[in-house]
Amino acid sequence: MSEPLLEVKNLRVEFAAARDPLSAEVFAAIDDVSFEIGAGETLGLVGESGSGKSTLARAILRLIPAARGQVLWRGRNLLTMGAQELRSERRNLQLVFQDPLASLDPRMRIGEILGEPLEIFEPSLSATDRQIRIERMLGKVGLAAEFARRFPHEFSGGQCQRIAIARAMMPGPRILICDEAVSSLDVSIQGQIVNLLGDLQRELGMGMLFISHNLGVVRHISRRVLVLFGGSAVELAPRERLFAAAAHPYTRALLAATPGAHPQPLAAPAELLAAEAAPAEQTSGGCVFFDRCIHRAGECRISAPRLEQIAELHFVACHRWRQLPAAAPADEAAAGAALTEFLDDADSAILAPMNRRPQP
Amino acid sequence: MSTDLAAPALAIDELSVEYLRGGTATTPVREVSLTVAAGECLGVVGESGSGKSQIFLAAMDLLAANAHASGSVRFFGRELLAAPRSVLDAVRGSKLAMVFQDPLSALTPHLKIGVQMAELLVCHRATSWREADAAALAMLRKVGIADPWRRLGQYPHELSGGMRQRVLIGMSLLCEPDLLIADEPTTALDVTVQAQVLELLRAMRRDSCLGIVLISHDFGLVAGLADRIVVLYAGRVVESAPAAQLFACPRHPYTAALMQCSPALTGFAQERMPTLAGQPPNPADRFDGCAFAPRCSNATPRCRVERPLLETVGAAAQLACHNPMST
Repeated sequence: MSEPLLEVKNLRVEFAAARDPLSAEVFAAIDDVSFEIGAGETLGLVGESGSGKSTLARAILRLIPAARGQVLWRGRNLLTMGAQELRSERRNLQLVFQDPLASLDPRMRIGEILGEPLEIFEPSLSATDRQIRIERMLGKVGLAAEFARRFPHEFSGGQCQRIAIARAMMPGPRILICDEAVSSLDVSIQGQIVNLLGDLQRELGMGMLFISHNLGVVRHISRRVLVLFGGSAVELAPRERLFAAAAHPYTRALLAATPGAHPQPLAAPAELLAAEAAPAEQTSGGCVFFDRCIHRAGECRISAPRLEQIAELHFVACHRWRQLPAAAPADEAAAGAALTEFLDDADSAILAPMNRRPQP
Repeated sequence: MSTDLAAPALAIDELSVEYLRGGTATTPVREVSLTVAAGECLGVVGESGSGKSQIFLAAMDLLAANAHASGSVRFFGRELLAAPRSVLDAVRGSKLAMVFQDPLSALTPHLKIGVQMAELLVCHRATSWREADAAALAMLRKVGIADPWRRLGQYPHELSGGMRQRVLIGMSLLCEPDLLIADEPTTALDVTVQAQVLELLRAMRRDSCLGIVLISHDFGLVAGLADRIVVLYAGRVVESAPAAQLFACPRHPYTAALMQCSPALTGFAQERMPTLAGQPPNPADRFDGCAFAPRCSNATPRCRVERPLLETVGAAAQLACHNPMST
């Protein structure tokens, strides 16, 4: 990969743990997370609610403070930058939120919403030039130029999300962070927005952090995928690798629990995860996934596994990945050569339920 | 007005729901007919605005004050639409139960879980509080909640989303209903929790002869549970078929397109996602022809002027389309 655009190094975000405001006890919502995003690359970020996906996005943009670590944007640390410098750099890093209607000011016309970033970042631009840029951007996201005079409530959810993307694109960002940007949209509209993001990325070469709990969408858009659990990165792998040969027990549970578009009996949850979700603070010192892992052993309680490289570009944080049964590929045809080395592990009994074929 | 056990659990006939607002009418449900046999699981699939929730809110008489429902909704032969309160009280919550999408807003925030659960039995079955508490405890255990005794004494905000949804499902099953209407029961939950809730519904079906209506926008979700699936578009049924048949061979172009749009975890990962052009229709829109025609790849001029009627095809399927997908 060429020089990364954005590098996140050992990022840690803390929140007060106790209800008691005087207590100094903290809880790490993001713990020692590192990754990088290259120009034109999309990194998918998946994890359950509460895993820290949005916290990570906010900490990168310094919308919330980080306790430790670095966010290097073209080699300069955003976290230690002065306020003025940060403000001018923010044009390069933009965010699209989940709720398209709530992220647009209801009292501003679309033209004003799209024009505002230009007023801030390019104050010298004349009114007519601004108007031209707004209309051109509306065209890019597939909306008519006359929409600039309308208000957000006049649009559907899918159209509002196009507007929100257009707003984020106005200052010409090099990194776009999409926080569940398609999650609230209808299935038939999701694809339109995902394709739009892909087209804009190809045209403008920006890097993208695509946060979603929908693995199917992530699979379409991402080149690499980072799996977050309890604020820690548990697996990072190229897309093909993750979907064919996931190594972490949590990633496997996530893949097995996701219904496909076709009837396929899913594995019973008990076979994927241990019974109850335990509060994160109980696992101090050990693996973040210990309480819910069906493959846990003694060492997992004592020491937290670090991300280790197990194949090219494939990292996993698990003490026991070598002992796990061979990964069950979601589809034999798609698994390809990436999987052969894993299939040497014969024992696939535990994952057998995931392999069940569709019923006749 | 008596209960007929030979009749289908739920028989909806020519149901329309109309909202009047400021002199204009919107019609989210248009002449929908469908049946749910006793013990059957019916999947109801549609996008937002397709009327999928409205049909069953009308059946439960839970529509807003400015809504008007016409047609017929029979529960084991007993008419529910415009039925007197006494009839509804005897059926709703005990024989015919509903689980909603958002588990937090469906629970009363200031009452302990145990009280909310036991209250159902005290009201519907006139049992004593002591017996009701015991039944609530047993039900929490049945829906897989660890440490149920402690949970009974807690408030809804002290439970996780998945636990709340399991409590709601448990509550809905306390009076041993004949039919459970689950409206997007897992949309607010993580996929791993969703799998647990689905497994719970599957187990409940296996153990008792519970009929389920599973309402969802997600074919994949419905696939794991439903015997038969009804697809809605713009307030009308466009296709209905046994689940296996529908997935193997969708006939309506909308069904086929919607299935394609659901991103899969298997097969070739294309750079571009398959899409369906255009916007889902607004319930206020009026159509002369087929409501799906503007977005349909099979549409002909006839589709724009003449609305296709829902007709029976083959043994167990229904289809409303002039130019269906080839088999």
